[in-house]
Amino acid sequence: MTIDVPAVAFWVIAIILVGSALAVVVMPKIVHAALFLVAVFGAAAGIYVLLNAEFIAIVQVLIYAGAVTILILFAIMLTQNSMSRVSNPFSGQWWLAGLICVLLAAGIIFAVNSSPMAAGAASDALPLANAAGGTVVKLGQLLYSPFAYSYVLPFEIASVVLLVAIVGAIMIGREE
Amino acid sequence: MTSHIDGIQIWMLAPELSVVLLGFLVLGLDLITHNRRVVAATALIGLLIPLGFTLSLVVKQDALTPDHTAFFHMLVVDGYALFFQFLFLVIGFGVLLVSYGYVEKFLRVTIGEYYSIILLSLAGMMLMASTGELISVYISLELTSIPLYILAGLSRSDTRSAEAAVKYVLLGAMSSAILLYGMALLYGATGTTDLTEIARNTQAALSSGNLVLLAADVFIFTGFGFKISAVPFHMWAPDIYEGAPTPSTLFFSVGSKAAGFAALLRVFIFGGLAAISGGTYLWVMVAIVAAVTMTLGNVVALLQTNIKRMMAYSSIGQAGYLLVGFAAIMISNSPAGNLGILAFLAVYVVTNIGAFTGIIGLADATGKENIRDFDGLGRRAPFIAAGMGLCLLSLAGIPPMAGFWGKLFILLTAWNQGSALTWLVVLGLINSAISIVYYANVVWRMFVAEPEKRDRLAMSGSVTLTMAVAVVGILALTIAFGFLLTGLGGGAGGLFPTATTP
Amino acid sequence: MITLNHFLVLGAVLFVIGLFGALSKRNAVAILMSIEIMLNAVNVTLVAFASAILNHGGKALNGATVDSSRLTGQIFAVFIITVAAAEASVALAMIIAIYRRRNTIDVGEINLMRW
Repeated sequence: MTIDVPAVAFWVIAIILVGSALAVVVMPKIVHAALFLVAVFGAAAGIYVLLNAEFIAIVQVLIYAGAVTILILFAIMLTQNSMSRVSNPFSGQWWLAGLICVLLAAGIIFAVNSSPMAAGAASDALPLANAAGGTVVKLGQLLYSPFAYSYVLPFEIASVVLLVAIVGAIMIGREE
Repeated sequence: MTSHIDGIQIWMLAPELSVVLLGFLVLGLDLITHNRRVVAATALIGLLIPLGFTLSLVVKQDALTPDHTAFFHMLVVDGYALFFQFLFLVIGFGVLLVSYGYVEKFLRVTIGEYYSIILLSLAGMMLMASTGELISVYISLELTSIPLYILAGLSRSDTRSAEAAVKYVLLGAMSSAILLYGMALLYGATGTTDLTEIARNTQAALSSGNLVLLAADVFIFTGFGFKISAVPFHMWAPDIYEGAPTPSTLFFSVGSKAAGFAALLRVFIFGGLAAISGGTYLWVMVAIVAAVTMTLGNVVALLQTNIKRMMAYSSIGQAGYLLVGFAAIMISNSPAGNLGILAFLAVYVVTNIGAFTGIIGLADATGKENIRDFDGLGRRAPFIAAGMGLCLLSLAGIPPMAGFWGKLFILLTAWNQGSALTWLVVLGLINSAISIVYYANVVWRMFVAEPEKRDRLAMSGSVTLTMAVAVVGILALTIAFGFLLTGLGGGAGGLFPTATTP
Repeated sequence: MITLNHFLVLGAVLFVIGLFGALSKRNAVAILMSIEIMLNAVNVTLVAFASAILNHGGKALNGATVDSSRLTGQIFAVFIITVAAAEASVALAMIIAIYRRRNTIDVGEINLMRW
């Protein structure tokens, strides 16, 4: 009997992903929550590798697991003692939010299972971690090529968004 | 569709492009010169350039690409987009002009920084109305929103402003995530993010009873619901409107709302989302949201003591009327229905600019923003009070003001859908009556109530000028309302050239 | 056998966990972290759809027609990651700004569940 390595990998990563995400939400200390967030980002990168999206996986590690996490840890450090008792408490109506979210999850899962989609039926098998399916070159062309179908317009708008964020963060952050 | 990008396509992007470049220019100019007048004049006169480009696109429609799209269907320059470009340029002009004095007095940034952020946001709004593809819609939305978050938090001394910014950015990011999940489901269900292709694919076999499409629609509507402050996603509006600097509040209440509606209509009508099977549930949902939004906005506005908070609830109420129109065109799309919504938006924008100009004028002169501070404004600053009164009465929909015609038209659109929306029209009329109470209360205070002090208030030139422009705008809209509608109606097919709703 | 459904359910579960956190936490940084989880859920969903479409040789199924293999889902994910980072930086700047003024980042008063 052979072991389906990608399938095992999926289950391991999926459990880590969901478990860490839950930990981010329920951990009473904000620093612990932030560390579990790194695990969420890392596990999501693993999912992208399984789905043959190497470029997304690398970007995920660089930007999310690297840059965003550091930003968040800095913010936590700079706002120490900002909460009264526990650093990561729930609000009073957490049960209502939980109820809405459980119903929502049930609804979405039912919907994707019962409807035909252009991406195929939900029960279609996906070839996992298929080394032959490299997409980086194609992605590069799709992002920027002026001569073939490409997402050059959103790409250019995104550059302005980044500039706005830089200017804005300086305006907000600087002392009087 | 041409296979590669050429000069014509760049020209079709020129209005947005020039607004972005103007934003950079103003930001850079601010570093070189400390003369506030030069910076402000550059920005205001510079806005004529994108206006010129927009007009050139209107006039030279034949010279555009055959299907009026560029950048691989991602930019759509149809009548609808051009209308909104024009509207956003008017908004930009009004907001820049009226905030001139306020920025120096109350904000911790220079005029150039403030103006550049507004201009970049404005470019995002213009793009939101003219993109025909979901990724571009999302990126434009973020280009619009991120500057808005910043604009909320720029007050020098008011802690409420920093609080408003945090609330705005967290709720805005959350609503973006919800919107994105809807877009992701839509992509999975239709295999594409191009709205024209989405419209085609939703009418294919896969649309029958497709729950993924329905879920995607609900998520997308929810995401936009935050942006247009519809109930039950309205919680952000009052706190943020009250806490933010007043010119920023004005920008949120007209710019963000118009841009949200522009993109909402574009995605739902152009993308054929209103026409999916199971769309029945959708319009019922929209109609209920519209009913609750109008009622809550107008009733809670009665209880407010802060004028900005009152205007926040008033703008929630106005969003409700717009959603009535939206519900009507979801049942069956008609050029007349589209025109009703667009006309209502145009009137709303101009009157709200006028009303906020009065609020900013008072804040400039006295630093106060409670409703009772308007006592006797009619004697202390007659012109500003008169203009503001006119705008408030128009917002209330008192005939024969422009606001009355806008409301009438939008309610007629709903009425024409038959018995399904009759209850909504009746509710709209009741709400109109309620809204008269709180609008007229401010007018009464300005002209009848006795002020504490009887001194004349010195109004800055920029405030007076903005008010003059707004008043002229309202009067022009009032007189030319029929002309406006027939004028737009002449190109009625042109508003949504490829959108077809069975 | 791992199917498209596995990934979609994973995305949905992740999304609602994030949404739950965003609606029920009081620490502003925790809300931001929950929103990042939601965005990751969106990306997982998008990349899974892109992978499924690629698996059919770039053709959409069930009566839908799409021009070619565009990898739209993956492109969308790249944009979301980019913009989310920008948004996070602005949000954290604002959180630090309010901490300097109020010495708290407890957003108890903007609890979404309250009308």
